[in-house]
Amino acid sequence: MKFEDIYTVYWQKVYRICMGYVNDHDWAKDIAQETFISVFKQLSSFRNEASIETWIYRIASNHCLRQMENKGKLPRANFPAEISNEPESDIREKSAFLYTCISELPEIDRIIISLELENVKQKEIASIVGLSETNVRVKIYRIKEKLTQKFNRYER
Amino acid sequence: MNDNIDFKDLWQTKVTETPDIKEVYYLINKEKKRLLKRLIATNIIYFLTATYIMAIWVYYKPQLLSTKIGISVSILAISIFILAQNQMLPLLKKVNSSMTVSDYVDQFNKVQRKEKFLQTTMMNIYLVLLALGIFIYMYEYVAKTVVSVLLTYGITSGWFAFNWFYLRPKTIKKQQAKTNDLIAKLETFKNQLTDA
Repeated sequence: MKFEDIYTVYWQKVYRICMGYVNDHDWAKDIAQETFISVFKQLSSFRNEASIETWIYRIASNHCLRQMENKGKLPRANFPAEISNEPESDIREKSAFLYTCISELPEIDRIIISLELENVKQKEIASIVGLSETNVRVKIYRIKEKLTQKFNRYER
Repeated sequence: MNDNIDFKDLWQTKVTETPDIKEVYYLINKEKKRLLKRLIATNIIYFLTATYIMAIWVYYKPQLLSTKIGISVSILAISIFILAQNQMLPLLKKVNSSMTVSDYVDQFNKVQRKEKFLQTTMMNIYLVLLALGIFIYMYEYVAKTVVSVLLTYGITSGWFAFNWFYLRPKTIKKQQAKTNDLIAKLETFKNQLTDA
């Protein structure tokens, strides 16, 4: 796969994973760009040991973790202040709330749930994170439970 | 209580404009230039310092063996320092971002611990060797009167004492605070990965 094609196919996906991690548009965009710089540099050494998707998500996840070096920069509650009654804005609001909730989870959980929501198979998530498939399944179940609780409290 | 929230649907609604790929190419070039500049700068500083010390050797033609030993020890001190700095590069290269998150956290942790060692131990060795080198080197030029010996060695000792007791702990403390923070953070990641 050519770099240009990878960029087109994966930019949004990588951006969303970064967004789930930091919940800040500019910061997420920066991490996504760092990810693609790494992809570009390492593409020649990619040997199909994993699928290209797994490989890209590993790089993205590790770049997210590297954000610990940006001390003082904390995930931001990017929640819209205005509330309107339009159905479209309701979805946007809920989506923003979801990203806020995810960015408040422990770091590894943020990555796992972002990948799950990005429709990555649990087997692949296991090979991205380096955990067993069972562990991943249990974690996803618990995280979703936590998110559901938060949503129910929010909707009340 | 609603247990059927479609998180995937909410997740996918987040879309942003894909930036032009040229932005990525621009950043890649910028990084390459930055690395190259740093490499050149480090080596130029090393080269100039070494040349300067060697020039003293050639120009002043020291008579005593102690002066030559002093010069050699000083060069050794600078070499060790540069070597330690460069040792970090292959280590950092080993931390390949395409490994699994769990391996990445382990590797990164190792690098940080090594960095911690390099920061303290190498800085101590560097300062001791440099002081020693300069002390031996100076002898030939100041050992003319007791006063000049006392004065020159006194001032130089004072300077090294200031470095050793004030600047060194301050620098180490600052660097270690950063490294310790990173190590602590990596430990939390590790716990999150084992606690399933």
